[in-house]
Amino acid sequence: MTGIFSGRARRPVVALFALLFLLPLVIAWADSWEGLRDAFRRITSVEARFVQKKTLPMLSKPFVSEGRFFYQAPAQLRWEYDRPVRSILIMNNGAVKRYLREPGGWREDAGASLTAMRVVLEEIANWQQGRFDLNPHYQASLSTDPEPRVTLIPREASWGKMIRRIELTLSREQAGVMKGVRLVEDERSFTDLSFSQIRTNRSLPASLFVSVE
Amino acid sequence: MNAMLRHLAPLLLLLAVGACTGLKPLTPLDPARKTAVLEGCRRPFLPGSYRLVHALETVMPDGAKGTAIGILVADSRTRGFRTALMTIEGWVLFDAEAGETLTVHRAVPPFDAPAFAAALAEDIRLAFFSPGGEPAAWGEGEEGALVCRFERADGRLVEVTTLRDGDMGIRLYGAGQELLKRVKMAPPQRSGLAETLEIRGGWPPYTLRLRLLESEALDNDSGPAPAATLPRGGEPSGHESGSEKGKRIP
Repeated sequence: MTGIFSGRARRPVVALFALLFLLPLVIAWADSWEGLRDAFRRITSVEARFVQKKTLPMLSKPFVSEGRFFYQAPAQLRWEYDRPVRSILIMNNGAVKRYLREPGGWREDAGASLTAMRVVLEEIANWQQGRFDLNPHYQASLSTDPEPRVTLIPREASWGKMIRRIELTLSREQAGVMKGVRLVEDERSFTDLSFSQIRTNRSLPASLFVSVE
Repeated sequence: MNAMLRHLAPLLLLLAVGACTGLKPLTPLDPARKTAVLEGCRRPFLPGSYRLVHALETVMPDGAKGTAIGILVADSRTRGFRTALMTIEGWVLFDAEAGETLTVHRAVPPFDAPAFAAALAEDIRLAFFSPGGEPAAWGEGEEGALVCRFERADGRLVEVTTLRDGDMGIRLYGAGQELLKRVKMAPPQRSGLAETLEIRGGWPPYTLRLRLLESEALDNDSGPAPAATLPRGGEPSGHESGSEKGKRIP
């Protein structure tokens, strides 16, 4: 038999129909809070590369940092910067530690900013579990156009002075995956994190969340 | 008596150290060397308007170390600047501007203490702005160091030193010649752009270590110069790292 339903031609057609059939499901995961929670609940681990761009009125171009991000459900994080300053931020069982690379090796950082970072890391762990509306200090809203996005706005004016809003951009293609974060301090001061080479549900060594190397 | 001495020993030691750090007389040099010596004394300071980004390490009295990114936009002619401190993750902890007055735009605890802003402003002015045009004294100090001493309107004195190995130092003395702050830096390849510098001072004592990550000369008439110090997110290329406008040090 020849024509469009011949054996060789049938495979792409079947694939196309399968894609059309599945497409609403792929897009639909980020259409509702329930869909988000379900999708993120299925994510047990995340590995990704990230590029961080800090924009400030003082800077003529964003200050760019790069590194790797690891998450192990429910609440282990490793935020590793390769450049321009080598550092590793680890959250394990609620304990947060930062390590800095010096000529003599890694040293633990004890700066006052660690307290602030603990709050940020706990929030990221919540997001990774799809619990975007858990923090009572933020009003969470979900939009799908132009891409799936969760926006968190502080409920209290005092929080709003520190951060105006947080935008979490979700992947249409990979259910339960965040592809970008924007933390807006004001309209001219914000931090963009974009993730790439995202791999999920792989087995990660426990040591990643315990020690630097 | 012995017990009293034991109690007084730290204080006596402190006074002895303070006395040792006072100003010592300078050995006069050949007047023909004045231009060169004064030029050397201007080398630590910014010659105009610049934007600098540093990796900043703080060391507190208990030895605890913290790290931040420091951004400084400074104009040496007006002696005005704006500075921000942020975590490596991009969280802005402190943002202040100094002109005629010091204005804090943002300060996350514990950086919200007024004394912190004032001390930081003093550190920035000491490390990056020339203390004056003509020194009150110049000559040779200890171990052959070339020294310029500048008197300030507030009665304090700033001493700029070039050591034999090229390393440079800046010291701030109080009206009683007590040492208040000191800055050490590697020889700057270009004026005001030392790759590393260390500031010590205050009571309780603290240390700031700065490593220059990016620098950019600003167009003084029309705002920031368009030249970027690096391709966005890219590795520094040989061409750009040699740029006259600025550079980024990995």
